[in-house]
Amino acid sequence: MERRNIISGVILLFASSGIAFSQNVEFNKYNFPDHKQELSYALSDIATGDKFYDEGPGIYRLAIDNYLKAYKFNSENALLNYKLGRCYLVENNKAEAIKYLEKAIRLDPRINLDMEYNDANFLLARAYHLDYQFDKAIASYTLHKNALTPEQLAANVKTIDKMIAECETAKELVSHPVRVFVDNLGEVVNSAYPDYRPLVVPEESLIMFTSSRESTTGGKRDKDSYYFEDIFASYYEDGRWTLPQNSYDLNSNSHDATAGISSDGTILYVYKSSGGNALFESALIGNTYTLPEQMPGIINDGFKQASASLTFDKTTLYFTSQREDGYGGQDIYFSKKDAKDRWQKAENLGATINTPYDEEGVFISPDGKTLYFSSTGHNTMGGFDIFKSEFINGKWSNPENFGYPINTPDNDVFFTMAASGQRGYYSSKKKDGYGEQDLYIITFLGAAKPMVISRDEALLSYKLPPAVPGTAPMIEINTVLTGVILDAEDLSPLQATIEIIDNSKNELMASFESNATNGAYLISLQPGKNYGISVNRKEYLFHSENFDIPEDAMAKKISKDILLKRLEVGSKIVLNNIFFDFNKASLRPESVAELDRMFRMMNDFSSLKIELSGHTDNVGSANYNQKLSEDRAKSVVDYLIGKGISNTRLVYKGYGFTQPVADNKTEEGRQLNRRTEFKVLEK
Amino acid sequence: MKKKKTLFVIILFLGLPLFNYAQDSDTAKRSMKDAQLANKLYNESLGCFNDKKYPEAISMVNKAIALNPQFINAYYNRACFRLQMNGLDDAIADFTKVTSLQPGGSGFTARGYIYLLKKDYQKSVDDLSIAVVNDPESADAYYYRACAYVLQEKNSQALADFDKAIELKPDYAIAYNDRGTVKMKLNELVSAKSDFTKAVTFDPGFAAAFNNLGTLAELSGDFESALENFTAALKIQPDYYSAFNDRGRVKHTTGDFAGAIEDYNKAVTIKPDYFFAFNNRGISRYMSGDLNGAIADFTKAIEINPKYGEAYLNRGVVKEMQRDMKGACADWNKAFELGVQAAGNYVNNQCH
Repeated sequence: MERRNIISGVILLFASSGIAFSQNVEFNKYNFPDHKQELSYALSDIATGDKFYDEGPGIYRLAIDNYLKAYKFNSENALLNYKLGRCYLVENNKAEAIKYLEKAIRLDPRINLDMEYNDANFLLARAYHLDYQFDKAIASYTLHKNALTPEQLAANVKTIDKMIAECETAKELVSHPVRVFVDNLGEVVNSAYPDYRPLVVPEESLIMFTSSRESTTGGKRDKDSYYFEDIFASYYEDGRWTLPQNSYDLNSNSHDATAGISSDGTILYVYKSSGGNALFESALIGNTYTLPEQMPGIINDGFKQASASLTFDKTTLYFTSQREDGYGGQDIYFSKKDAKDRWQKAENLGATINTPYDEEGVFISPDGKTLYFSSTGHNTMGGFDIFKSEFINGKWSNPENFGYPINTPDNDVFFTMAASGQRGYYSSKKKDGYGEQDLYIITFLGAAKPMVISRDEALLSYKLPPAVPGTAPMIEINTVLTGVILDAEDLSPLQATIEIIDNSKNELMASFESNATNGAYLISLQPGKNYGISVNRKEYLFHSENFDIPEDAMAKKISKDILLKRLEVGSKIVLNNIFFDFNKASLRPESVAELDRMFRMMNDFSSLKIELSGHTDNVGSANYNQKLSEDRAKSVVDYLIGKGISNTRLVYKGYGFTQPVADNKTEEGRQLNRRTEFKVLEK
Repeated sequence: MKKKKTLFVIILFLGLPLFNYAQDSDTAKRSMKDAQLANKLYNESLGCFNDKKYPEAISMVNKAIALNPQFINAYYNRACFRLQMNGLDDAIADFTKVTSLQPGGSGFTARGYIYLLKKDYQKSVDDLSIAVVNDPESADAYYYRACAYVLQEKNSQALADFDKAIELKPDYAIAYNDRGTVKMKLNELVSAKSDFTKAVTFDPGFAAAFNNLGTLAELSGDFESALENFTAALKIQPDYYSAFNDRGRVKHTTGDFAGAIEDYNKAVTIKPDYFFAFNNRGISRYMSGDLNGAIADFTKAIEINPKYGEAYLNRGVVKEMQRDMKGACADWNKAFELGVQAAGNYVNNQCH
């Protein structure tokens, strides 16, 4: 609690004194004159942390704990931030590593020059690299590279360029992930310590692996502070892996590690440091593997051999070795058995597989045609990646990176394929791990399974609406009205415009011309209706009349010849299509067409002066009929005046029943006598 | 298209003789009054039909036929009325009567068309073959027979008939369109495009032809043009659900999953049992990371069409990604049972 107050005070001090936060603050009495005691504690914490730090990565977490105590006192020290960043990087906490390393560089950009090769920019690049921030990693690698002295550059450029290339590879692989599920084997199997080198029996009911956990035989730590390796076993029961048990019969107080297993599970290969870093062989008898026996010297040639894989026919052994005749680092070799079942001199697998870097974790498929191995060479995306090579036409193909997310920027190694071919096991260092390397299971999903997008077939059009045949047409059952249009004087045929009006609807039904040669016309009309017909021709008075076509005239022919009178002074016509309300002078709407015909004629002949006369039958008194006929004639004149015709051109007269044109004794005669006439007074 | 089709139908039956005046000797013996009444009833039945009063139309035309049993047009129209009421067999009976009363008339064209609707393609071909003999100038008879041939998968005969129909009626838009679909099936894409283009030239309101142009463009990898044509089809016919499905598919292909889902949404809104669009929306949802939504869509597609093997296959793929291998394998097995061969490979590789 007291320390927290001190830190707050330090921050306030910086703020008030205007000291920039980006300035490195050394742990000395000049910077903390009033906090000598706390300074002393902090320096002590750093010293303790350094001690753990120097003991190796196995106990970096203890170093971190102490560094963080000092950090609480003074967070602005570049070197402390650097150390924390470095520890977190090893501890697989990339986010924290990036945070502290970025700050270290911010506090002292020259910290690179003050350090040995593993400077802050390089470590920051590594942290970015491992954290999938590849572009930033490339930038930091480049920054680091550019800051090196010529001597440092000469010594390290190959490594730095390789890592930059790894970042480029990683970008490509991450953008095209392979179709797998990669799952951590779980906290029951994995520990906070390195767990790796998985081997599975064909049924996948037993997994044997190597671990540097606390419960290893003898409990000793190596110089990197990790516990010595031991072999552990876990069984798959009821859908889960059991708590791993130490395979004591296979282990010793030194390093003992799983190295390989035959595809039928009957031969187990074990690596033992106590036997000269050699491969040992153990046979499955019943349910137990026998005590491992060291393989012959032709395999164990005095160098470290730590991984092995036997072909299905058990005649060829592939194994890793650090023999000096290789291509650099650890390489993959193979040895064949002769007719007497003796291993022959091992041969290097060649430059196609082996690189100047390390190859590790060899696994040959049961058919001997596919080799899986890990390498820090080839086109790795960082650290060890798993590669695959096919034996085609007597040669191993160029190794193919197994792809992301199996491979990561960190170490991915010791792949072993389950007998089913549907799953694989390997060790990897991932974000979701339980510490250091963990065991993972890969479920291969096979080739991409494209989904099937559906679409309708292009349809033929015959079903498009209306998807029914059209009906046969209506049958002509109307009455045919036919006739000729002639000059009233000389009976010569006239071409005239004929209009037919449905008086019940007051609609124009047809407008057509009579034949110019013979004046003939013909039209089909529905029976049972009253029609109006008007005939017009220039220089002639128009003719209009209305007529009924009775219901029983269906399919019959009605003839109607029409004589047109020339437009001359004195000529007159009956306006048959002007209708009045009963016993009134008010025009009915169906009169409009006829009235408009008159209007057009008055317009066409501007000098025309006419008389409109009203006539009645003899029903009623003479006075009544005289007035009614005059009023009706006036109504027509008023209509025309209302349309704009000058009243000087219009005269109206009522004649009552004084000028009958038919016998008033019959209804037909009276109907003819009830009329409106039009007479030309001046032309 | 609707307008076009209407015109087509009118043109088709302009060639129909005015049977009513061609009364045979028996009818001639009837009183004029009965004949006129039959004609009147016939006309009134057409009025009812135009007013969509189908039962009344049939009742009236029945009376007309009772008054004049040789009334060819009345049989003809009754067939049309019955067809409107989905009475395909009754319609065939009436058209058969028409063909017996007038063996050289257009009854064979009409009956061939009904057989086409009934998917009795051979009878359709038989009738239409008589029709083209009766009237070698009948573009429609050739067109219908071409359609029947297409449905019999006799593509070469179909193409010959489409050619003839177009020769007889050079602006025959639907014939161009349908000939284009056959060519598209035969992978004659350039020629198909020419036909679809003619179809929309002669009928700029032909939505299906625009859609086919879109499909062609899609097949050619010209997604921009495909989208334009599908959009043109939708502008003409806003309820063209399969065009929404097609446009959605292209949007999906170009990575516009949200746009694709929007189009599929419209397709299933217009046609709620459109299982293709549910299936396709499932795929777009899957690609958008909405695995549960995808499962729901595939399931809906399967509910609508339990024989939709592809939807089972797709659902299996999603279940696999959800780590439900048991469910995935069950779906793939079902898909394989329904004829989806790829599902068999998945079962063999991953379900043992």
